[in-house]
Amino acid sequence: MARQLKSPLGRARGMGSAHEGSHHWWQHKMTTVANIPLVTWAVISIALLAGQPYEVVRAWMTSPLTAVLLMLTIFNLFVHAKIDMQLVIEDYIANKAIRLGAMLFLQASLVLACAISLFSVFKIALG
Amino acid sequence: MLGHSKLKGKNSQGEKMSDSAAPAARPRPTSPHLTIYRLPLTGPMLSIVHRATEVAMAFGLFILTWWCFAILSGPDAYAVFLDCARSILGRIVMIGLSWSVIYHTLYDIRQLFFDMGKGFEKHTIAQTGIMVVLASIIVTALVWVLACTSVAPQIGGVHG
Repeated sequence: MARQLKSPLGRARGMGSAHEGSHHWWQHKMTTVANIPLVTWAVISIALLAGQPYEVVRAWMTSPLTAVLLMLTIFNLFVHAKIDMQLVIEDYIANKAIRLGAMLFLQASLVLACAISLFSVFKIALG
Repeated sequence: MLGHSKLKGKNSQGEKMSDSAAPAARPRPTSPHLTIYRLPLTGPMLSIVHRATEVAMAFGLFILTWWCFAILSGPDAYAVFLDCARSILGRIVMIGLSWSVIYHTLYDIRQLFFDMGKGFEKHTIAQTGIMVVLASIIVTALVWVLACTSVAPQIGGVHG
C-alpha cells in the first residue's frame, strides 16, 4: 500500500480547478432567464383559466403549443427549484447525515413530482 | 470538557464578584445580532424574503403537480382540487404563492443585473429593491383582477 505523505490540500494545490464548480451556477442563471417568459406566460394563462370549467381547462392543455410550453415551464421550474432547495439545505443544515437525508428526500420528491406533472400534461395532450 | 467546566465555574464566580463590587450591574456588550441590528430593508431583508419565496415555490410545485394530475384524472378530481383551492386556506395559499412566484422572478431579474456587475451603487440597490417589492405587489394584484374577471364572461356564457 503506497503511503500518501501529501495532504489532500497539497495534492489538489497546483492542479487548477475541476472546471465543474460553475455548472450549477450557470444552470441556475439559464433557468432564471428561461423562467422570465415562461412564468409570465404560465401565470397569465393560469389566471385566465382560474374560473373556467374543467372542459375548457383540459381543452387548453390539449393544444400542442400549450402542452410544449407548459412542459418546458414545469421542467424549468423544477430544475430551478432543485438548485434553490439544494442551496437552502447546504446553507442551513450543518449535520452531514441529516443534510444527506434531507437532500435525498427533497431531490427524490422533486423528481417524482416533476415526472408526474410532465406525464400528466403529456398524456392529456395526446388525448 | 474539564477545561470548559473550569472556565464556566470561574465565570460564575467572576460574575458574583462583580455583582458584589458594583451594585448596578452593567449589561455586557452584545454583538449586533438579528433582534438588535436593524437590517437595511432593501438589502438583506429582501434576500431573506427571496429565500422564503424559494421554499414557498418548491412547495407550490407540488400544488402544480396536483393541478396537472387532477386535470388528467377527470372532472371529479379537478372539482376536489378547485374546492381546496377556493377554500379560505386555499385562497391564502394561492395568493401567497402567486406573489412568491412574481416576487421571485422579479428579484431574479434584479439579480441578473448584479451578476453582470451592474446596480451595486448604494442608492441603486435601494431603488431597485423598492421597485421589486412594489412591482411584485402591483403585478400580483393585476393577476388576481385578471383571474377574477376571467370568471364573469364564462358564467354569462354558460347562462346565455
